[in-house]
Amino acid sequence: MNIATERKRKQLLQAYKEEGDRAAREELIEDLMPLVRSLALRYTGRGESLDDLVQVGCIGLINAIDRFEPDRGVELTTYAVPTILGEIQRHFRDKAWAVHVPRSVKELNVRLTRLLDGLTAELGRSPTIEELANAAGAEEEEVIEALESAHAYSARSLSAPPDDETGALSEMVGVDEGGYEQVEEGVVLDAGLNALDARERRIVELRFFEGLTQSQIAAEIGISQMHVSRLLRRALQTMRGRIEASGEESP
Amino acid sequence: MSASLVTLAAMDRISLTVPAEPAFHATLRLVVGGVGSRLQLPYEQVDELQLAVEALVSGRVSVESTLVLEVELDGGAALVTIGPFASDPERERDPIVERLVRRARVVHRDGDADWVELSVGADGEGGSP
Repeated sequence: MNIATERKRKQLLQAYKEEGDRAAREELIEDLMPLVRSLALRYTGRGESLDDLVQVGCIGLINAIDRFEPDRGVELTTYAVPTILGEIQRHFRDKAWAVHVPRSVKELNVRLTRLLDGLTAELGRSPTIEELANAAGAEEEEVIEALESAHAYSARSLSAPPDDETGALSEMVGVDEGGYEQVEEGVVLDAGLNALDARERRIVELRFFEGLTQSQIAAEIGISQMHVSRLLRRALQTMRGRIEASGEESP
Repeated sequence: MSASLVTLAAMDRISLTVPAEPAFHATLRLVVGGVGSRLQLPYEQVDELQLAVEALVSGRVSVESTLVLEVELDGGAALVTIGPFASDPERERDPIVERLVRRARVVHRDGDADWVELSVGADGEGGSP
C-alpha cells in the first residue's frame, strides 16, 4: 500500500472518529471493499455466492471501522482483516444450521454437546436420553429434537472445525491405511473409503475396522462425540455416493 | 404432514408410514430416536440406530411411494423393520449397517421386496458397546 493511500485513510478515519463525518466513513468503506472482496474469495465454492460473502464481509469491515481505535498504533487493515474473516466464518456457522431450527433448540444442542462428553466421562459409558434430559433440565422429546437438529448442519460446514474445536484435524490424526484389505467386506468398502479425506477415513477406520465407540474415537482424536457423530454421518454419505457411482460405472 | 402414525393395540408395536421422500427421513430418525429413548439405550446406540435407518432409506431404492417403519418392542430390545425396498441380491449384507446395530438382516416380504430388520438393545449390545 502506498503512503498516499495510508495517509488518506488516516485522514478519513480522523474525520469520522473525531468529527463524526459519515461521508468519510462511507469513503473509507468504499476504499477497503477490494480487501473485503479478496477475503471473501477465499470462501467461495462453499455454497454461498461471492456477492453474499462480500455483503457479509462488508458488515465485518464496518464493525472494524466503527470499533477501530487509532491510538492503538496498528493499521486499520491489520485490525480489519480478522474482523472481516470472523464475520464470514460466523456467517458459515450460522448458515450451517437449517433455517427452520429454532434458537432454543440450537442452544440446547450446544449444551447437549458438552453434557454428552461430561456425562460419558462421569458415567464411564454413553448416557441415555433420559440422563441427558435430566442433566439439561429438558424433556426427553426436546433432547431428541435437539440432537436431531445437529443433522441440520450442512455437509459443507462440517469441513470447518466448530468453535470449540479449532485446529486442523488432518494434522491431529495419523492416517493408517493398512488393514482394510483384511476385512471381509473390504472390496465393497474400498470404493467408498477412497472418496474420504484423511480425517473421515480415520474415523471410519476407528469405528468400523477397529471397533471403537464414538466416545472412544472422540477421546482418541480430541473432539466431541457429537462431532464424531456428524463426521461419521457425512463420511457414510460420501461413501454411499461413491459406492453407488462405482456400481453404475461397472458393467 | 401426510405421514401417518398408528400405534397398535398392544402398545408394543409401532408402525409409521411416510412418503418415500428425503424430506421424511428426519421423521423416521425422530421416531427411532424416541424408541431408543424409551428403551433407555445409550445415546451412542440411539445415534447409530438412526444412522443405520438413514443409511437404509438413503441408500436403497424404495419400490413404493411410501416407506414403512415398524418397531416391535420387547422388554429392553427392539426390532426395527423398514421397507419395502427393491430386491437387491448384492445387498443381502450391508457391512456398514451391520456394524451400527446388534443385528441386521434382509427379509423378503410382499413378493420380492426387501425389508431390513435391525435389532437393538437387550443382550447388552447395540451397535456401540
